[in-house]
Amino acid sequence: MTDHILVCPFNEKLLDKIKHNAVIINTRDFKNLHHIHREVNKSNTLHAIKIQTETPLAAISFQESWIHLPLIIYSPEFGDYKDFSHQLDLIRKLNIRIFLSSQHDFNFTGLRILSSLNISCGLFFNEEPINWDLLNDLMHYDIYGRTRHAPIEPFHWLASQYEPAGYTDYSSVYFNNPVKYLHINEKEQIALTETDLLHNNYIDEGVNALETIGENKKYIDFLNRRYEIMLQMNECSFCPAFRICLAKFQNLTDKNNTCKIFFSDFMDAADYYFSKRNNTEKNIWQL
Amino acid sequence: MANVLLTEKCVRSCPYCFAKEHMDSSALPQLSWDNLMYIADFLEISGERKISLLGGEPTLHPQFVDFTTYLIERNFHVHVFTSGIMSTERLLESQKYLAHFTTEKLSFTCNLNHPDISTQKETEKINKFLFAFSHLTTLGFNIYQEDFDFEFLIQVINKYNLERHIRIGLAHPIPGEVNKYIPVEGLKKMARKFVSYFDLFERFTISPGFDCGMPMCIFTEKELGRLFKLNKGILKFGCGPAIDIGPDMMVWSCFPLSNIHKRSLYEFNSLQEVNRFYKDLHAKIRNEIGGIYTDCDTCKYRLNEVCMGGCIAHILNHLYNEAPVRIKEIYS
Repeated sequence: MTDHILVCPFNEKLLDKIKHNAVIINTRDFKNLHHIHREVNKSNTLHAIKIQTETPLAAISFQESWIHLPLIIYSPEFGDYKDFSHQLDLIRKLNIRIFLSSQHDFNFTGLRILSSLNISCGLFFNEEPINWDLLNDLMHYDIYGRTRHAPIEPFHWLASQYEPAGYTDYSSVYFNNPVKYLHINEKEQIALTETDLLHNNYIDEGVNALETIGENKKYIDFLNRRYEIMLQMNECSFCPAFRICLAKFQNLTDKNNTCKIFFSDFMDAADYYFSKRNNTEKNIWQL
Repeated sequence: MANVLLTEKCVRSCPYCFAKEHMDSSALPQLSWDNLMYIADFLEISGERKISLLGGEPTLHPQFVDFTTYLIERNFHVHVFTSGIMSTERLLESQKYLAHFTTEKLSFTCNLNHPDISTQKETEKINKFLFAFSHLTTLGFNIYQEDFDFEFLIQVINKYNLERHIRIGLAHPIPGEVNKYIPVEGLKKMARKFVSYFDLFERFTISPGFDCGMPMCIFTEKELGRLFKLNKGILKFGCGPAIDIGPDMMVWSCFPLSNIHKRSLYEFNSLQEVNRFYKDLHAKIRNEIGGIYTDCDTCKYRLNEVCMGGCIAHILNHLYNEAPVRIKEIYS
């Protein structure tokens, strides 16, 4: 048993081997959700089922029977609101968080629609260029919006976890923070992130290695070196927002017009949220 | 309540159209999702739960159904002002997604013109709309000349079993522009024609409710009594700032005045602020000239706000034509 939450595909043999762990299941279809829920909970604790689909959100047929399943849906696009709207009552009852891709501009609007209708949601990034203005608008809506709305990730998570004196890594929202999550495949190969797993960049192999992952050299190296970039002479290490960005966009060539503006604004928002979180005491004038 | 223009396109070209000036001049043709959500948030912050969708013809907006269902989902009561003239495709779509709502959530005012100035094709489309949405629809009619006919409205109400109410608007002048409306001196004659329908309204239990800008003194005391009874005690002779928000997020008070005192919605923090701004502006104008008649200045009913002294567009029109320097001073 490990303290990490394990992210893996649905494979009964593998699940049997990693008994008594909290598990996130990666799947691509909606057919076996109940079966996954039942089987995982036999010997593990199901943390969530992450469904990566190619179907637009509005075209997904949500089911009443999903009510007790912890679900995360990654969909490439919002789709047609009309097709989505008749399912709203049901979706609000579900234990669900919906993620849309940053690839399509309308998804930023779609997320605002979802949030305003009280549905927890988030944005996931892919390799396409990001529309930083839209991203900033969405962040502003989530943090500063005065009307009641559901959290939009990763903004809400980061703002609520932010500590001014330390680093805040929003990779957790995508289960890619190796301090909390580890990825494992059917071959029992273990990786720090989903991308590492896809690129065969493993830190160890075999479920037994999970027990002693804290002593794993690659894991220890990761922990020691994860903020190393801040010590190098590059643009990220001088960026005022490095504490929340952690150089995730270090490959961008034009940082001044992209990530730097956004993350600086985001840090202001996180500071604002932090002060709001911590200033609940009312100071009254003294006698 | 705020009126939101979804699009500035229209399917009709009514001779009295007091919205014409605005329709012709605006650059942005239709409201975006982002602007709609901003407006919804703005109204929610203001504690306002009613929203009217208009145009142009609001059903021409490609997202008309989406916007309407979204606003209902946000707990707004949505009222749509339409001509009822829409494509078969839009009608079917509206029927599929909107017809199941009750009047607590959604209602329509279908503004009809006399069949003589409508084409056969238009009338057919309107009939289809009324058939599909009879349970949610009230009729509206704009009076723009001294002589007019209400009988066809009563026939339509009976045929489609519509709510037994007609929203009666007066066409107003667009200051500095040309459109059809009843001049101040013709309003009393218009009132006589209107009163001639009282018996018919009583027989068919139809309440003729006034939109803004109707002066009270064009009716006698006895006529006011009958009107009071016809309308179950709800009788208004108001001319308050009706707040209109355009697709480009410009805001103004009343269509006829859209070309003279527009502001950006972003300048305000709440609907109350917008209302206050235009109320102050209207008061400034009414300090200049109380109402459409000379007697309005000292009229006790106007001073007590039982009647607002007719439509402010008439006053502005007068200033525009007779005292252009003064109007510049008011708006400076």
